[in-house]
Amino acid sequence: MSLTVLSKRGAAMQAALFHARKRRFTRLQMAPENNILFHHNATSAVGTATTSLEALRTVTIPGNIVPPNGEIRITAHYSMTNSANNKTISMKFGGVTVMSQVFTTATNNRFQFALALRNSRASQVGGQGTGGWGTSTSAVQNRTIDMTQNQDVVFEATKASAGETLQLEYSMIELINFDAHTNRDWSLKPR
Amino acid sequence: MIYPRSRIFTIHHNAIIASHTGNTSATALRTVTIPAGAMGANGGVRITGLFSYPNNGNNKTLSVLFNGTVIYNIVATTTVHNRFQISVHNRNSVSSQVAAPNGLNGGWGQTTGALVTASHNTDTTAIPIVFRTTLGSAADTVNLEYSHIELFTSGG
Repeated sequence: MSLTVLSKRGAAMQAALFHARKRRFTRLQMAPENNILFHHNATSAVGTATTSLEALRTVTIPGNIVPPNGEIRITAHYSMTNSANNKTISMKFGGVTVMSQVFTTATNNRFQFALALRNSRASQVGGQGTGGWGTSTSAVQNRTIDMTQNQDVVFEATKASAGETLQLEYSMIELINFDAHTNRDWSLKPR
Repeated sequence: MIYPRSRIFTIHHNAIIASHTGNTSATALRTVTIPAGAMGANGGVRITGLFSYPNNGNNKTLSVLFNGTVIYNIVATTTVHNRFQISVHNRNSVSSQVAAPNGLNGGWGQTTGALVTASHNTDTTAIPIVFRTTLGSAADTVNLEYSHIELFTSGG
């Protein structure tokens, strides 16, 4: 499946391929390709000696590539100087800060954040704004980012002390392209 | 190298809210069935979800069951949501499963709890995955904000 589709025509072609593979899956009793590794980069992204917010990496999600019942799942790992100074990891999607967390005496943080589409490309729900798991006192994130348009995922860093390190070690983005039309399980058959 | 029988794919994804209020009985918010034969002897399922609820002193029990076996069971009180990811794996047999301790909050990290093991035959049994809640107070509401199930198939 092409991951460079940007136009509406391209999106339509992608949808056609998607459904063709779904039909083939049914015929061959094989899995459809609906968990797509859209982006993976383990080259370190290092900021400069500044206390300003820096964008360490930007990945563009093409409009219409995630179906109305799909999901975007983002995993990343930062390393940092172990000190009492604040190191802030943050991430924007569609210009909105969807994840932010401040660290001091730590050397690493790995997080996974997800936004699930609510039967619409303009309605999403997400969990903790820290990328964490388990219980939280933070409100559930309800977002209205227009995913019919290209939207950027921006991995950010802010240091309280300019000379310290806060770098992105790797980033990974998965697109969960679940059936946009039925929102229900596919009919799997025994192998 | 090609691994034709080793795949991870989504079999369920739903971000429409499923709610429960009004009684203190254990209540299924959503049930998704894994078809018999889908997992294989070295396959598994990965289940991700998000519950929300009111911040108060009443117990709100949040559970996930794999063909009746409780694989996630958290009692929430003074928080507002719980995001989790858990998994169940066949142990080189379609009739032997292992999962992390069901009291591990969020499904990640360390715990002193006991592993969950089970012996459901995933080749002959369609396996219901049930997202369930039990309210300590009938006046409260628990929402399943979204649920996502991925299936691993492995040649072993």
